[in-house]
Amino acid sequence: MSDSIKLTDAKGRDASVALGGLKHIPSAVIGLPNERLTFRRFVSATQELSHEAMEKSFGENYGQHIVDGDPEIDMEQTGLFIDQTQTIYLDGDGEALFTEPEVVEILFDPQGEEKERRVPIDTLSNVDSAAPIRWTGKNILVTEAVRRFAFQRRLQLFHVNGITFDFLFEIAKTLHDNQSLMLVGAGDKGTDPLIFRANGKPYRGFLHGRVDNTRFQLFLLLSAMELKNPSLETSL
Amino acid sequence: MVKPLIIQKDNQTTLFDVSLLDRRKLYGSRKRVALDTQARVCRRASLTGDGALVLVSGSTGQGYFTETGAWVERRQMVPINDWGQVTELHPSTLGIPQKVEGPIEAIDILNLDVQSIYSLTMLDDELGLKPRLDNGVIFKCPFNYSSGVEVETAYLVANSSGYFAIVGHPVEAEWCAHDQALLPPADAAFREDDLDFDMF
Repeated sequence: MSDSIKLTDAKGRDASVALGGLKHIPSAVIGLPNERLTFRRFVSATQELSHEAMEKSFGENYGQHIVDGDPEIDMEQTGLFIDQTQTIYLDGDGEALFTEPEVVEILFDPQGEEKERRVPIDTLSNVDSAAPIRWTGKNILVTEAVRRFAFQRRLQLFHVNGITFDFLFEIAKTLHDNQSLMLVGAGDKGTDPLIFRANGKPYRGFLHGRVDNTRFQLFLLLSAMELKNPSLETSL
Repeated sequence: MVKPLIIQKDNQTTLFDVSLLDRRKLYGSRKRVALDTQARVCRRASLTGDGALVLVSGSTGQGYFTETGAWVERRQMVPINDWGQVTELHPSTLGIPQKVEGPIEAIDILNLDVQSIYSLTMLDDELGLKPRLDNGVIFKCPFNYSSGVEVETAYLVANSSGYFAIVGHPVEAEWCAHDQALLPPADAAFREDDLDFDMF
């Protein structure tokens, strides 16, 4: 996704504006004083010395063999740092697959039970610098919205020139005056959820604006979940 | 068992059970799997760069190492601030009474960089919070599910479905002014990797 989006306002006008994330930066990190630490992966066991392989070599109760001679440790490989790797698939017999596998998509219900297998359906990204995010005209009061939706991402919209300053300021002021959020969406009618990358999570988008005299803040709030009690939902 | 969230004011408390709320608990989830020629589910593995090793799940470890290659255990590590000084490690707030503040403006929740959301079950309400939460009043308190370098803030809200804690760190945003060509800082740009594409 680019760092700019196209947005429409209440009058249906569109403009390209800049987009930035708002992330908390921790005031401290976990580490050791005066030491530069790096996080690394390493080999802890090899397939040749797995539980199955050990069972095959020494029988079901091979504990004493481990105590006596460390046969589960490959002295050449164990502890080696792992840098670059390639993902491969192993077939049902544990052998590397050299042909392209068939891929299926499994859908699980909220209890984690499989409910359907299907041919994967790819969803395309619908938020980019060309297709506008549309103003739907659906207002939701801030006091209601914060008790109804989980806003897991907050992005800030920035002007890129004088024209887009006026454009964004007007949107922010409208929302500020109404103390409400504006539902925005993708697609021709603005009814589709926002998808920022192919096969990505669909988000409902809400614009939230504040003004302070001649300055403004305009945010795109993203929600992929309502505030609902799972036990009530699943008992329905 | 997880300790309860205990909030306190004037020596009276309200207790909640906390349970992490995520999308899959409400809407389910999806997963893509590869099948071999006999329609058996394939396992993912990693092939090392030199092609010498096939690493399956459980055959790798990970950890922090010094520049000389010495492994540093997690329990040896401490919080270090930007100036290299050791700072305080904040313990979990669960099971320990936390001072509650409120009513809180709804708009304050929109300043949060949300880290997690919990579904709450009210166990005891000596403080008499239930009718106020049910009427839309919002409260906040310090919250750490587990120990951390900072203490997060939990906003307590209610709706017809239940009680919830929205947990995160407040982040103040820049104001945009007409004479200021304000562009997002390079490190603040929205990253696609922020999104979990396993979900739908």
